[in-house]
Amino acid sequence: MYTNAQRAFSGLGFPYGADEDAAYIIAWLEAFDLYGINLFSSSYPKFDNSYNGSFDSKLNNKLNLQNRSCLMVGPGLIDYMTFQTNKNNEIKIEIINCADPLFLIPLLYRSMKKNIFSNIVDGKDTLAVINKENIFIHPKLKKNKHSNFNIILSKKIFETLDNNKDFIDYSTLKKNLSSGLNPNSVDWDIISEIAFRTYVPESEESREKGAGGGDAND
Amino acid sequence: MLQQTMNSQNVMTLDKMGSRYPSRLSFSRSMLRRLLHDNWKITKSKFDLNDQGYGTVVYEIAINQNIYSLVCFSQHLANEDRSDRVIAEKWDTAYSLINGKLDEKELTRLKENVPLQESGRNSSKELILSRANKSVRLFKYVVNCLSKGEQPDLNEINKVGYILRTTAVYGSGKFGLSDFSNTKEVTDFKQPFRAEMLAVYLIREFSVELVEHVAKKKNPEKAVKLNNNIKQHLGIGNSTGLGMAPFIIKHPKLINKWMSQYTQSLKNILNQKIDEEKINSYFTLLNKALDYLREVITYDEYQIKKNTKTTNDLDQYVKYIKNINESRDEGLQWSDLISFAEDNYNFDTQEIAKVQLLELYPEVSELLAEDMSDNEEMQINESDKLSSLKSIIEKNYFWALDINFLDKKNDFLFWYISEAKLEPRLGERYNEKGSELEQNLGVAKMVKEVHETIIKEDQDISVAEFLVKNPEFRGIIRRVQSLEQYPFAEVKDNILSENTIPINMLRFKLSFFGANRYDPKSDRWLRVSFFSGAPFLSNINKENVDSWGFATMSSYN
Repeated sequence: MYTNAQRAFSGLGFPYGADEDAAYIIAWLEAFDLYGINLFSSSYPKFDNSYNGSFDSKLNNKLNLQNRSCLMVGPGLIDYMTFQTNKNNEIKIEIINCADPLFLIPLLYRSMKKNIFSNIVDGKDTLAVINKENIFIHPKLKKNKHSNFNIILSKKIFETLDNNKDFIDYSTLKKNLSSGLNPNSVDWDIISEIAFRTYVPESEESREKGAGGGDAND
Repeated sequence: MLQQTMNSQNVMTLDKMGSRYPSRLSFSRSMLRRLLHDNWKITKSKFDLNDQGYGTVVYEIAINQNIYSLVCFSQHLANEDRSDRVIAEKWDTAYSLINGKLDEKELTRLKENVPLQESGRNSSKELILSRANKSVRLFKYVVNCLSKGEQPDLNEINKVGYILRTTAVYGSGKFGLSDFSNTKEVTDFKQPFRAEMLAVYLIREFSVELVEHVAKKKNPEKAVKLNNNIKQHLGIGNSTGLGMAPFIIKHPKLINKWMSQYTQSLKNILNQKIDEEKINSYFTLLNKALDYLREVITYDEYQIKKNTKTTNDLDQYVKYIKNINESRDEGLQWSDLISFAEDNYNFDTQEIAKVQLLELYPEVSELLAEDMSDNEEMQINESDKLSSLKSIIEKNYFWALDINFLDKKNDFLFWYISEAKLEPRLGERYNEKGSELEQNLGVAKMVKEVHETIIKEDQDISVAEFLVKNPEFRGIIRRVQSLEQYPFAEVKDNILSENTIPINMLRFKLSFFGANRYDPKSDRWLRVSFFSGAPFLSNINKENVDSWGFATMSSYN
C-alpha cells in the first residue's frame, strides 16, 4: 500500500522524499481505519501536478495554508514545529485555511515518537490529542474539513480526554496488518492508475536492453 | 592491516560487491540449520499428480505449535510458453507458502489464483508466491534414466545443476502477500528471507519427487529413485534479473545489518591464534573451494575470465597456507593470513579466504546469523544545523562529491519501472525515452546536488528551516541523516555511470541468499542455484547440515 501510494504521489509530481511523506500519511491513516486511500482518491485532483510544499519560515505563529493540501505542506510544517519545540519546549501556531487537517495526524504521531506531544484545538474544542498510549481525534476533525485551528507541540504530555469512543489505540495497527488491509477497490484502482503514470512504456528495444530476464532455456 | 576487511569504504564498492560468495551467514544456510536444530516436521499431506506429473502436492511444515503449508501446482506448458522472463504469464509449476493448514475450500481458492502469480489475488495468509520452469532437457534425461532403472550421469547433472528453476520468489507484502513486519510478528520466520528459503528448499524437494514420480509412472516395473549422491548435487535453479538491484539501494539499513554481521563475525575470529587442527581444516576447505571453481560451468566470457583468475589466485593461496602449515609459526593469527590474501590476490579469492575462515568457527557466526533484520525507518533530524548535515556528507559521501555529472558518462544510465510487469529496468539516458520517470536511486548524484545547494546557505540555520524552503531535498536529506551511523548502508559507487555492471549488485544480494553456480547471461541477468549440495529431508543430519558450501561432484562420496 505504501509503495503504491508513494508511486502515485510521484506520479502527481511530488518530489523524492515528499512522495514518501505523503505515502506514509495515506498508509498510516488506512492502517488505523481512517480511510487514507479514500481520502486520497477524493482529494488528489486538487494537487495533481501542482506540488507546492514550501512556505516562509518567518511565521509569527500564524500560517495561512491557502487551502494547499497538508500532504504537501504538512511534513515541512510539523518538522519546523518539532524543531521549534526542541528549542523552546513548546510552540503554538494558528493555522488558517487548512484544506485537510486529518493529514497532519500521522505527522504528529511521528513527532510523538521523538517525545514531542501535540494538541489541536479550536477555541474550547479539543480536536486532537496525540500522546504515548493513544490518539484522540474529534469527529469534526475526522471529517477532514476543519479549516482554522491552533496546533500546539510540547515536550510535555497533554492531558487525555475522557471520551473512549474517539480514541485510537496503537494496537489497531498490529491487528490490521495481521488481517490485511482492504481498501475500497474503486479507490484502490484510482491510486493504482495514478501510480501507473510513473512506469515507462516498453518498446522491444527497451525490453531487450533493460530487461532482467532471458530465454536461454535448458 | 586489514583495511579492506573492516573498512566500509573498501567493501561496499561495486567491484567488491560483485566478488562475494555465500557464507555461514547466508539465509539458505541459516534456514537449514534452524530446520534441523528446531526439529521442523515436514510431511506431505497431499500428493495428487497424474502420470505426466500434473496436479497438486501439499507439504505441511510443523514448527513449534504452528502449521504452514507449501502448495505446489504442476501443469502442462507448451514449449513456446516457457520463458524465464518476468513478462511470462504461464509456468510449469507454481507455489505458495501459507500460514496455516489447508482445507479443500482454501485449496480451491489457491488453485484459482496461485498459477496466475502476479495477476491472482492473495491474502495476508500467503507468505510466499513463486513459480518455476523445468530444465526440459535435464528433466527428460533424468526421467528416461530412472524409468529404465539407471542412474543419470553426474556430469550431465552438473552441466545444468537443477531440474526446476524459479523465475520469481515473491514475499514481504508484494501482490497482497503478508508484509514482513507481519510475518515476523505472527509466524516462526523472524529473519529476513527465511520463509522464502524454506519455500525454495521445499521446491527442490518437490522437483525430485516430481521427476521420480513421472519415471515411476512411465515404467512402474523398472523405475528407480535417484541415488543420494546425484540427488544432493541437484539444486534449485533461479533466473534473476535487475529486480534485485534497487532493493539494495532501497533497504540501506538492512544491507548495513547484513554486512555488519559478516564483518563482526570476521572481527571475532581474526585475532585468534592459528592452531594445527584449524589450519588443516582451513586447508581442506580452501581446496574444496578450488575444486568447486574448477568444476563450475559458465558460458559468460567475463565470468570465465574472473573464475580463471580466481582459480589461479586461490591455487597460490592454498600453496601459501600449506607452507604456513608446515612452517609451524606459533605466533601467527588469522589476520596475518587474511592480510596476505588482501595484499596479493583478487577480490574473489579474498572473499573465499574469508568465508571459508568463518566455517572454522561456527559458534561465532551462528548467533549473528539469527540477527539479520533491522528497523528500516528513516527520519529527518530537523533540529540539526546545516553545518552538521554538510559535515556528514563530506565525511560519508566524499566519494560522490568529485563526480562530474555534467559528463554524460557519469549520468548515462537511469533506473525505471517498466509498464509491462512493474519491474525495475535500466535505460540509457541519452539513447532511450523515459528518463523523466527515473527512480530515485542515483544517491551519488542527489547527494552532490544537495551539497552544492547547502554550501551556499547560512550554515547556522536548521535542517527544518532549510526544508520548508526546499522540500525537494527531503528524501536525500532523510537518507543522509538516517544512515550517518550505518557504515555499510550505501553502495559507494555511482550506479548511473556508463561503466556500471549491474549484476555486481545482484551478486552481493545473492551471496547473502546463499546462491552458488553463478552464471551470468548478460550484464543484467544471470542464473544461479540454491541448495546445490545440501542434504534432502530424508538424509539431513548434524554432520551434513552445514557442510555443503562449495559442493562439488565428489562431495558426497
